[in-house]
Amino acid sequence: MQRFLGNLHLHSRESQASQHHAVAGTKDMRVPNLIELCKQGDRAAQKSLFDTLAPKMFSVCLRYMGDRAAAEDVLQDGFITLFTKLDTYSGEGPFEGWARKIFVNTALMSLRKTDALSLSDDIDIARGVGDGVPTPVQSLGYKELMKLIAQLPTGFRTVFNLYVLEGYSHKEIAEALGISENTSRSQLRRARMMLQDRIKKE
Amino acid sequence: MLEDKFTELDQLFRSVIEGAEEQVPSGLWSSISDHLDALIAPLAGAAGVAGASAVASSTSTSASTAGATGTAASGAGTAATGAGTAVSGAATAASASHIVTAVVVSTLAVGTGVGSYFILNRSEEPVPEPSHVIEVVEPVPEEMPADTIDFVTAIRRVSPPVQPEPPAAEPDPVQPEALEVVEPVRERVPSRTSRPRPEKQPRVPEAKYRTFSFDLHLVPEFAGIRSGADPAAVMAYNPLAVDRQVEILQDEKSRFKMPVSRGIGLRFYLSRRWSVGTGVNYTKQERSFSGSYALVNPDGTRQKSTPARFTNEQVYVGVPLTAYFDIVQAPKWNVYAYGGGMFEKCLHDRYRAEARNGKGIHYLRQDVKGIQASLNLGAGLEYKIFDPVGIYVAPGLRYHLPRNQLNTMWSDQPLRFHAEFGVRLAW
Repeated sequence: MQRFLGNLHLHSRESQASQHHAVAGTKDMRVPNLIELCKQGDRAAQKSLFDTLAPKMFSVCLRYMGDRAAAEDVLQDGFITLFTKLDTYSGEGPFEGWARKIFVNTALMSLRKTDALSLSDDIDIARGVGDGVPTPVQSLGYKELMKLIAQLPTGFRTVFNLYVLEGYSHKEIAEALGISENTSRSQLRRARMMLQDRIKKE
Repeated sequence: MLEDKFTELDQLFRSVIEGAEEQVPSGLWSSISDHLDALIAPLAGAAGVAGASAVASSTSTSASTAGATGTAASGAGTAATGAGTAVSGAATAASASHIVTAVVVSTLAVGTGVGSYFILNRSEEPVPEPSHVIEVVEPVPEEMPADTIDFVTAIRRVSPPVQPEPPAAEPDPVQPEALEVVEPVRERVPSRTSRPRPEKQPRVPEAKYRTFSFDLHLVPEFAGIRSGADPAAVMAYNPLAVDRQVEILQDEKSRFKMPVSRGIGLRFYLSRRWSVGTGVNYTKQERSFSGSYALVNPDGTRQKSTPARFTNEQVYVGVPLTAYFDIVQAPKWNVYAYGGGMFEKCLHDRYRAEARNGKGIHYLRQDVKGIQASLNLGAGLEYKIFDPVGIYVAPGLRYHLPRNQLNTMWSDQPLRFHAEFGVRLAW
């Protein structure tokens, strides 16, 4: 069960997405060499990889953790894990996808460890879907959407991230988090409802 | 289907957020770099120790490769042995760093059951026997309000199967353990405390922020020592004859010795960057001047005055209260700003009068009552020599609040510039 996120066959949507947003063609060819250098501990190569990956991965960490300080910690831990476990990257699939899984996993571990999931807040917020101030559609840029995600209770946010943005199925999410598929579906539904609620629709 | 109406919402989020980039906090890379260094350094030493194996140097290359991949794939505790032999075999510097990385990987894997818990399976195989897993999970009551609570408790219970995985470390042997772990979900008892917490072994020297620090410091006070006006006539007394007052007059401006305050400080962190501190300071102020003294009769008239050379010493004990804000927190450096106040009490104010005519030395006293309060503001720069010891310098300004008692050295120049030099132990 716990291995599944690693075993996961990337949802086709995710593969497309990461390739669409992934480094450009020529850079793809350079990446494998860069990885080799990183594996050997070449610090300059590692920094170069960091510079390429960090901005995207920080965005990923932010949307899981919801707050900046925690996201920075996850980003740091994630990179340390990435560099020390670089040997396990087999070369199959895009590197960015592999890297992203590390950060998602690190974020999930951190969420579990820090016990930041405060139950009462979740209940109150969950019950009170509809007390958020709706965001006008015009202002829905990256910043606003990230803020909306951060405002979700942790459970909703995690499932939303995993399903909508990472592309896992409910079955896969259920196995990863140790919940039932129905719980996963209901978390997602309520996350969407809350988001919808906060986005004003004309 | 119900979910169809959310397609637009999903699309909105996906289109904007997927692949988006954020500004990376500065200093993060150096932090990561330091951690990577810290991981490799002690292990390089350990590798030397582990090099008692019989692996011949001729097989070092193949052994090292096998060792590296072996440890990476297994992530098991006993793989350290394999890495150990690989390390000993490959004494050649060329592949040394690669081997060390392998050792690092395996050691991390050893130290972190949880790390390997999420480790990506290289073969990218489909989940082994998922049906078993689901079967056990489903009894987690559907009747439980599909609420974040269950989700939360469930997340909490998701635990690493067992801390060190079986040496074979094939995906299959893990399965039975996965089942065992999922079972307790029924109990609804937080199992966190009973779960092995391997990651508490610092798999990485954790970037924990400070909680507490203790320092010893010296604070020389610059500027503001050349005073404009000296205290007017000072009425002192001989401690041996307290009822007889002695008037001290100055002929010239005081010459001040640079006051150096000493103290200890304690600092408690309230959050990542904010901390408050207190401590105890001891300050001695000294000045000297030429003047004269005269005994004062009970009716107020003066007796004959005697010229003398005077030195005046005031000793203060103070308790500061300061708030600090850490602006830069790097592994070796810390830059902070601080502001606060201090309350000081004068312990004694002594005069030593040495009569010019050789008529003797008199010790006189004055009582300085009350508390001297001051405000200060400054910034500090700290360098960590080795954990937890660091040295620092913190220049700042101090303003002494006016008091009724004028007979202190601060009344004429209340605003002063100082710098605190110290040694700080921080945890």
